[in-house]
Amino acid sequence: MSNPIDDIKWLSVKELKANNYNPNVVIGPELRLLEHSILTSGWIQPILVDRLLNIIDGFHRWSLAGMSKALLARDGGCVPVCVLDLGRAEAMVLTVRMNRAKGKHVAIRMADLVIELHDEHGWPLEKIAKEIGATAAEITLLYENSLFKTLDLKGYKFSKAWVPYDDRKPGETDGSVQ
Amino acid sequence: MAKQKRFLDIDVLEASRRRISHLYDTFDTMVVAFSGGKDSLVTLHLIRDEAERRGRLPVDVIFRDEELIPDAVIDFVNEYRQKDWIKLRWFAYPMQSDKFVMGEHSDYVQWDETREWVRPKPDWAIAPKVGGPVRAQNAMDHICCHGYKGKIALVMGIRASESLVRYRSVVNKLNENWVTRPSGYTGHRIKSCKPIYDWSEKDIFKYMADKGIQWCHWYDIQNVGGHPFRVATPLHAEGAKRMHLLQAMDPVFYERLIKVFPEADLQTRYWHEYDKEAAFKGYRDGWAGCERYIDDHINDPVSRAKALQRVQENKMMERKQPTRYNPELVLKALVSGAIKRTLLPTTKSARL
Repeated sequence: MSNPIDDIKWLSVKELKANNYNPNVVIGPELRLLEHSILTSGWIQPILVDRLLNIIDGFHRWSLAGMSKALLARDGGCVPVCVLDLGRAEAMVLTVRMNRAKGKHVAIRMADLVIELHDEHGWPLEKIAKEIGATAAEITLLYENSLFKTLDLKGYKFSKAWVPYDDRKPGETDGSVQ
Repeated sequence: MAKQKRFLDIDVLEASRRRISHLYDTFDTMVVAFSGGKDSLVTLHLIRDEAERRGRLPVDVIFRDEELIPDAVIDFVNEYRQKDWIKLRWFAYPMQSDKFVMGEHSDYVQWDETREWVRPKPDWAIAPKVGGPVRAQNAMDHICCHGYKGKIALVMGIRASESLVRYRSVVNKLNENWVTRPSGYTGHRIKSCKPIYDWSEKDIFKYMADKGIQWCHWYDIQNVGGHPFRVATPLHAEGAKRMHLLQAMDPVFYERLIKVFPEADLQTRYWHEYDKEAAFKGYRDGWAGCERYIDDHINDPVSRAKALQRVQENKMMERKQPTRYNPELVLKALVSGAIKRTLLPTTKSARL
């Protein structure tokens, strides 16, 4: 079987069309992270399109290539494209398969990753935040990875004990622990 | 104002030590109900201190294994099971339980003999013979106390600040408010005792930090996973709302869970955008609407009874305080699965 990836060509973003069914949404900060990624690492995978050049996977990379000044200046509004011999129905299910199969990050492993970047590779926390598109608060939580620090127990004193009290029956309150 | 908190001159740690000492003076057997969670962990260590002082080690402990428990929690409890100062009995009984998926309550049985299990039953678990009855949740307390001698103090790490239900459970009585009869139990031999009822979550973590007690790794996972600290089953109405976090906290456990309960995956994908407004449609005609919602969506008899009880309670409250209690409030609670608790009245800002 020949693989679609064997044939990649550069096309103008104007030739491609967005599909109208993709349920995947990328929010603003993640879009900026994607731009940063394409600018730093270059194009690392093609945009997938069907026979009629409707996008199956890569809508956000395609939008950026046509919008981002830095990307327009570098790539002249072109993107690497892989054309798949698929109709609309097959394209729809492939889109969902690709979105779903990307999986999820396990938070505690993210913490290990951040710790290694900082402790072993000497990356400052601000740099890690920028490179993985995280806020300072998220990086601090992942790096410290400690409930004690999160809860800020320093100087905390035990709270006062209490008993229930009913002002209509003042004599009945528990006296055993006083 | 009827019930209030009256603060004492001592802190919660000192108060709990006195309460536990009092329990040792008045009961024949002390049994700690351990869940692997931080509250029962602190309770267990407080009991250990007193037992040591009195030469009454090892400490008797029971663990009710609810099957749908992540490995991190099970491993932690198992570590404690093997400590020399603990004599732990591990129960894995088929037990009636309630799950909440996409706005629908239904029942399921933990360790159900007629389906695959989410994890294997540990070899050391105490389990009844195959084909025995399915137990109700509130029958388990005294089943677990079988074999202990004399008057039994079943010591639990329940805290008032966890929820309104728990708060109420420790202020119902004025004298020895923290020693009560277990719910559903009619005898006199067993009491449920909650010596740390007035602790805050921060008190709990401070005690562990001061004593160098290592908590269950599950809490670290929840801490970075953005989940409140809980060790309960994920299909419970509270846990189910955060099913999407579970996937990122323990994907292996999650995968086993959805293999047995495929509907949980639906909950993960869609509950956070489930259109609760649409769910109200057709049920906005007052109390009759609430009752019809229960008829249409809540199948399990226990949950049904609870839901109907919520409707009755609120109907009565509406007569007294019509601006604060209304069918809309109850309908909202029904849709979001919050039927186990007494509802808080509508606040001023929400009323506008």
